[in-house]
Amino acid sequence: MTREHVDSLTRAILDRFGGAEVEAEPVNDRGRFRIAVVSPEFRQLTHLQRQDALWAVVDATLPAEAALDISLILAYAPEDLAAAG
Amino acid sequence: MGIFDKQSELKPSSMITVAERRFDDAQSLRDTELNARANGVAYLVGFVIEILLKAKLVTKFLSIAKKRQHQLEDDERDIWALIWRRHDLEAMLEKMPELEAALRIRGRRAGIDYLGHLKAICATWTIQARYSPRMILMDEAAQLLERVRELKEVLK
Repeated sequence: MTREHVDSLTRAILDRFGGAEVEAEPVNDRGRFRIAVVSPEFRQLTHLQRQDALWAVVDATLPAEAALDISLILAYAPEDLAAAG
Repeated sequence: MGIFDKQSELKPSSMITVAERRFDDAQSLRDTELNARANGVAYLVGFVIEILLKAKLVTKFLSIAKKRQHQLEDDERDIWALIWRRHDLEAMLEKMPELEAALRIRGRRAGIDYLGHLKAICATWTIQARYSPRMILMDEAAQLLERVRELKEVLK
């Protein structure tokens, strides 16, 4: 996955989830990335619902080969991280 | 054969049996229908996936898995630790791109996004097991259980 793919995915997630924060970090030097998203919209969703919604954005935004290079998408409501300290 | 050598002889088939037993444990907790048991269900189904991924790693890296820690070369330590010490599902997946490719192909044939489901479970478990003090409800745990029921069949 290229940095351009990361940028377009970040924009798509920000468009889809109001008030979201998105971070992407490489997990190796071969273009594989881990994504973390914090959004107030996740308060109303179970973990699997968050995942399904995020992967739907991925599938609608990235070519299939690029999507394979996402290792995980970590999805948090703001309170999840606040509680984690 | 010494105790440590026997431990290193754990076979993928035995690991699959353990995964099935932990899945049955999760099912038993789910059957209580008590919300107080929901986080236990979520933890156990993630553990099922972890064991099945470790079984895949043992199959792929058998010669490393069978070594004792003091016998490892430097470039073998990461794989060995993933098999016998660590619980990092994301790192396990990264070591098995062929598994991701196989799940993608199988998913296309079945019309089920097995790879996406696996990554969703891995992410969920990573958060639930490590970071989140949040209590989930049994309905959410039941969703996780059903996803893992499906996934474990393609990971065995």
